[in-house]
Amino acid sequence: MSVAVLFPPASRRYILTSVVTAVLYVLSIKAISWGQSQLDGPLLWAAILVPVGCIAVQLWATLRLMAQVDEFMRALLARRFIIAACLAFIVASAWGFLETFARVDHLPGYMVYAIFWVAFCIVSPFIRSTR
Amino acid sequence: MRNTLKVLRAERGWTQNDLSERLGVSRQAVNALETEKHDPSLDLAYRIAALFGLSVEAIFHNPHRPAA
Repeated sequence: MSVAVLFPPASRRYILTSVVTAVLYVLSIKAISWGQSQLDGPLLWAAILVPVGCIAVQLWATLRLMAQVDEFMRALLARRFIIAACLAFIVASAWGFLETFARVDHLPGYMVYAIFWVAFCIVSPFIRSTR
Repeated sequence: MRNTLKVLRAERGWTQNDLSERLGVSRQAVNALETEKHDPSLDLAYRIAALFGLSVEAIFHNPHRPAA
C-alpha cells in the first residue's frame, strides 16, 4: 500500500503541523524556563504566548483534519475527541479537588492539554465505531 | 445498519479500495460500512445507491419499515 493511501494529503498536513508545533512547544517552554530570570513583564507575557499559540495551532490543525476527512473518519475523530476531553475534565477536576482538600502536589493548569492527548491515545483503540 | 454492500462489491469484483475510490471516501469508511460500524449519511447512502444503480433500501435495510 502506497504512502499516498496510508497518509492522504490532509493527514500529512496534520502530522507536519503537529510535529512542528510539538517541537516549538517543548523548545519554547525550555527557553522560557531557562531565561525566566531575564524575562519580565510584557516580554515574559509575550514569551508565554509562544507555547499557548502552539496549542491553539495544534487544536486548529485537529479541527481542520476533521473537516477534511470523510464522514466516517470525522465521526470517529469527533467521538474520540469528545470522550478524551471528558476524561481530561474529570482528571483535572479530580486533581484540583485533591489539591484543595487532600494537599496533593500542585498540577500546573497547562498539563490538562497533555492529559487530553494521553486520554485521546488511550481511548482511540477502543473507539472504532461511530454508532 | 444491515446492508448488502459487501455482496454488491464482490459481484463486481471490486476491492474495498476500488469502491472507496469510486465513492470518494477512505477504505476504512467502506470497511466500516460493510461491518456495520458506521451508518452512512443520507448523502453517502444516495451516492452508494447511484453507483450500484439501486434504491437506498435495496442496499441498506430499513429497520423502521414493518416487515411485509
